[in-house]
Amino acid sequence: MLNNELLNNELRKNPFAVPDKYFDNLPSRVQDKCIMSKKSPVFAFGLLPKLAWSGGIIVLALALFLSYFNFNNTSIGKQNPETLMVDADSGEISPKNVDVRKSSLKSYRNDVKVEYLAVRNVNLNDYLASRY
Amino acid sequence: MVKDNSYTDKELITMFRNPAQKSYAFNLITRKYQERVYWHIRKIVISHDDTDDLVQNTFLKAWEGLESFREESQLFTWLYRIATNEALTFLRKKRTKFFLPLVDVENQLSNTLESDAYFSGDELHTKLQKALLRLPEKQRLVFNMKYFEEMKYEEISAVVGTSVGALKASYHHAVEKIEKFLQED
Repeated sequence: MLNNELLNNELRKNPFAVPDKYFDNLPSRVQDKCIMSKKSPVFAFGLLPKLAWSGGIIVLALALFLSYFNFNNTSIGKQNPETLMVDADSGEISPKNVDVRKSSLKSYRNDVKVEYLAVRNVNLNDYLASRY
Repeated sequence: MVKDNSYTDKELITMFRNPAQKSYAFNLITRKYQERVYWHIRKIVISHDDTDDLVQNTFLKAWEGLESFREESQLFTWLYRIATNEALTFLRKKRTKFFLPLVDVENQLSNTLESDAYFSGDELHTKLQKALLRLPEKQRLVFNMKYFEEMKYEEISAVVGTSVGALKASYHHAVEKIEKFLQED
C-alpha cells in the first residue's frame, strides 16, 4: 500500500517526547485526581446548581403567591371590625347577611364577623339560631 | 505471587470490582495503558500539556465507568475510545471557543509542533506531522492508529465505530494525500 519508501521506513519512529520521569509519576497523579473526584462532593458540582434552581423557583413561587394574595385580598386592610362597620353602614352588608357563605363577607375572618356582631349587640347564639 | 504486569485485563477488572483492591487494580491498569493512551492523544492534540490533561481525564472517566464496563470489547479499545472522544471534543471546543474554522486550528497545531520543546523529530518528521494536520479528522485518526500504532483494522473499528471497509478506504486516501504532500518541494 505504501509506495513511498520514505513513508515506509523512517517515519514510523515516534517524533514526540515527554518530560523526564513523566510516566513514572503519571499513575499517582491520575490516582490523586480520581480520589479528589470521589471526595469532591457531587453535591458541590452536581446537586448544588439544581438546588439553587429549585430554591430560586420556590422563592419566586412564594413571591408570586404573596403578591397575588396581597393584590386580591384587599381584605387585609379590611380585617378589622371598623371597616366591616363602614361596609355595613354603607349598606353593603347588614347583620342579617353575616354569613360565611355570602360572597360579600368571604373576605372577612370569622373572628371579625363575631366582633362585628358583638358591636351591633347581636347575640351570636340567637343569630345562629335564627339562621339555622 | 503473580507479578504486577502479568495480570490479564479480565483479572484487573475483577480486582477493580473488589472494593478492597479497587485502587491497586486501577493503578495497575493506568501503568499498563498510560503510554499507549498518552501517545494516541498526543498525536491528535500535539501539545504535551494538553495531552497531559486529557490523559488524566481519560483515566478519570475510566475510573468512573469501569464498574459498569461490560467487557464486550477489550479494555484497551474501550480506553482508546474514551481517549479519542476526549481528544476530539477538546479540538472541537477549541474551534468553538475561538470561532475558528477547521484549517486555523490545524495551523495552530502546526505552530505548536514547531515550538514544542518535547518534539524531537527531524525536518521530515515535522513535514509528515504537518501533512497529517491537513487531513480530515477521521483520516488522521485512522492513519495514526494504523501507521504508527500498527493496530488491526478490527481494533480500529472497535475504537471509532466504523466498518473495516470504510477504514481501509480512509487509510488509503490518507496515504495518498500524505505521499503527495511529502513529494512536494
